Amino acid sequence: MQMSPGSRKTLLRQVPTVVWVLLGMILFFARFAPAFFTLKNAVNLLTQGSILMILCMGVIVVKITGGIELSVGAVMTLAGMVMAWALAYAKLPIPVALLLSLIVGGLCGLLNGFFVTKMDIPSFIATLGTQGIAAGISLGMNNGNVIWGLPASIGYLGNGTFLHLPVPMWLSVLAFLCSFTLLNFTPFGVYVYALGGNEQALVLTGKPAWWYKTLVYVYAGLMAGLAAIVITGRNMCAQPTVGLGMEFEAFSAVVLGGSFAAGRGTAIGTVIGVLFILILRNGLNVMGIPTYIQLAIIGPVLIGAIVLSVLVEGGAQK
Amino acid sequence: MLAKDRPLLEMRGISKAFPGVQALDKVDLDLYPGEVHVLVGENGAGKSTLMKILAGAYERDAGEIVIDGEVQAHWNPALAKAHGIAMVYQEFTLVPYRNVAENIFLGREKTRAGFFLDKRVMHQEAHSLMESMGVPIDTRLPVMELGVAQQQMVEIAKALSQEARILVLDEPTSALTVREIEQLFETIRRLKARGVGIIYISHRLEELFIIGDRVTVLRDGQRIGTRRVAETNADEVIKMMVGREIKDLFPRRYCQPGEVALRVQGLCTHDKLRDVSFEVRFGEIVGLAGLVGSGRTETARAIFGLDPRTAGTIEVMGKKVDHIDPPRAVEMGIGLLPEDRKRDGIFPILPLQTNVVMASLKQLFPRGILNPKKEQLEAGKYVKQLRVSPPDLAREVQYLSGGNQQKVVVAKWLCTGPKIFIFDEPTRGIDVGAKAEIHAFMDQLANEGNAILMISSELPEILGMSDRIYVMHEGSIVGEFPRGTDAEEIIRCAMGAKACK
Repeated sequence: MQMSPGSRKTLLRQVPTVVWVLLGMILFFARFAPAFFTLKNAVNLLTQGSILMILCMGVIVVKITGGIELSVGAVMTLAGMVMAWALAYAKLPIPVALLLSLIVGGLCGLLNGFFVTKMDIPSFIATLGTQGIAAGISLGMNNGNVIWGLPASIGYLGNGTFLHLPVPMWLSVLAFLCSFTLLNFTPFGVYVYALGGNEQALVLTGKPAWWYKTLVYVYAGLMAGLAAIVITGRNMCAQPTVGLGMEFEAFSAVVLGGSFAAGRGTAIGTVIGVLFILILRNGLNVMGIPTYIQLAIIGPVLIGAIVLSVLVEGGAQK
Repeated sequence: MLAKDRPLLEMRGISKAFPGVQALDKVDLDLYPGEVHVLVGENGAGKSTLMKILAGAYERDAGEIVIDGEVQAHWNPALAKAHGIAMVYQEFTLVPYRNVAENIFLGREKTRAGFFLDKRVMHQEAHSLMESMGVPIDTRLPVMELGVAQQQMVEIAKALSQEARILVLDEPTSALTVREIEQLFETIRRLKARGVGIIYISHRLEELFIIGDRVTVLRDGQRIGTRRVAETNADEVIKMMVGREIKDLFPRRYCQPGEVALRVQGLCTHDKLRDVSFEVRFGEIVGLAGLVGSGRTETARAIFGLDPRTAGTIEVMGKKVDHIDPPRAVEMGIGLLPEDRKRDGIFPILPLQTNVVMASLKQLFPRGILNPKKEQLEAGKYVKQLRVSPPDLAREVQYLSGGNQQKVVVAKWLCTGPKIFIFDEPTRGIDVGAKAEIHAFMDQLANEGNAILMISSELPEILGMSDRIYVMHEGSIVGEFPRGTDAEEIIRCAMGAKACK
């Protein structure tokens, strides 16, 4: 690799601003909350955060195309309800129930994709509509009640360990690897970035741009299905409101992770964005700050971090 | 090796009509291997339509397309591509954040195992492609970090990577500097040597004589003639371009101009304008002519305070204005009728009456409470005066025709009572009837003592309506002409053919 005089500066600049803020935050919590900087807390945080991580790995792909995905939380809920229903009431075998969860997620994604590409509805509205549909069905399925009575072995997916580490963590790594590979090493990834950067360019190459756009939503739906498996396994039941508000956390995370505009964003950046949110929440918990005040702190910190990143990185590009 | 004497491409008797216009009327065009065939003509002469038919984007009404001597029965974008026809458009079709190699192979990625990108091969091929064009660019750079010229090279490389034998360059130099243009020409020469045929659309005459082998002139959808560049000269080409009679469509009645309404001196903006100076008097229509991209719209934007100026002074009615922004401009009595009405001028989903009073709500309703009756009364006045049709005040403006939308924009400014009007392309895309009405109205405005600065790409409009004409070229004013100047003189000046006075 060639070294030019400016390359050190460039290398430093390549580190997203949010990473510095994240490091600062970790130092802050480590100083003021002794229980924060422990291995146990780290594993705990990553396990609890695996659901957000998996959802974000789908949301980032949509976000890069310029879309806003607001249905993942509700879709995850619905997929979990269907899966629990299949296990508890229909007594279907576990693999079928798991598959069902993914199928429900994928179908909801297809619905989003159909709204966006074929009916020309802005993604913001289309996914909000799907959110409503999914949340409504979830509530209606068991008259607003939790579905209990799942086979014990399903708990492995949410609480078990594999090679000494929690299974949900492994699944979130799997989700990351999927999105990372897809975005960086496949033509599909190129089209995802092209859709966000200059959709017309993709259309002019003669590729069915609308179809790739649809697939992006299907992919996000599949990730919601995977997240549903984890959360249902962890709770050993399906709650009809479990995903409430998750879409906004996911959206904040991908934006924090560097997806400020259409055509921008990476899988690695998303990991950082997710960690940011998890650590902020976890740190405040460990410090013993009440939940309702946490909300009031998280909001401004998120906006501050995003504004700072946009200012610094926006300036660096010019 | 292909025979040099057989054309790669022949377009014979191509005709195309759009509602209300015969865009192309039995146009012929042919192209030989290794040739640069320049296509010139005024805006609206039919160049773009012809190229869109070649690309398969438009269907032709009549005529045939012949490739390598074979008449093509079917024609569509996929077939055009399959026959090696590639277009480099004015607006680039690159994905800004992605690297050069990805952009070149967009939609045709090299893969391993049919699924994974083979980045190594893509970079290798992209690199050797750029080398062969004489422009070694690091193929790992995102295209947004490249200059405009380099981006254009990437566009051309993209076309060549698809085995293009017929390359269409649409105004390739409009955004390039002199040195970049030289680089582009070098690449074009290399392509010629490889037997690629190039159709080169340009507004700049000097380029025609540097790079062209033959030139075809279109005017009003007809082919006026084709010449060997070596056997013609600028005068002949300009004459062929302009040739038409300027019809008596323009009702300008001259009147004695009054005081100076607007004086601009040494105006600069950081990217476009260099030392722009001119003045407009009350009672005068001043035309601002020039090619697309010569800086006319930017001048209007700077005067109106939409773009910051880096140097120069603006005087309105004899008073120097230090700081100007749109609210201040309106307050001082300047009204801007933007080029892109749809985007900047109207509120398409609001009713007619709201559009008309939009810029003068404060004057009409000083207490901040709207009064629909008064709104109707006020809007109705102008709708009547300008003969907006249909005169339905509640109608959403999006459902009006282009000409009537333009009248609504005029009405909006009349309502604020400005004294200095800047019309940017006042009649673009407007049918002939409405055009004449708007022209008559501009004449009336001037004769009532208002000052009008009119930007237009239509030469007849400039010649027919202006009392004085300034010509811009590459961000500067390069000439000032009185009424009654020859069309050829102005075109020559706008094309930068020579310094003029």
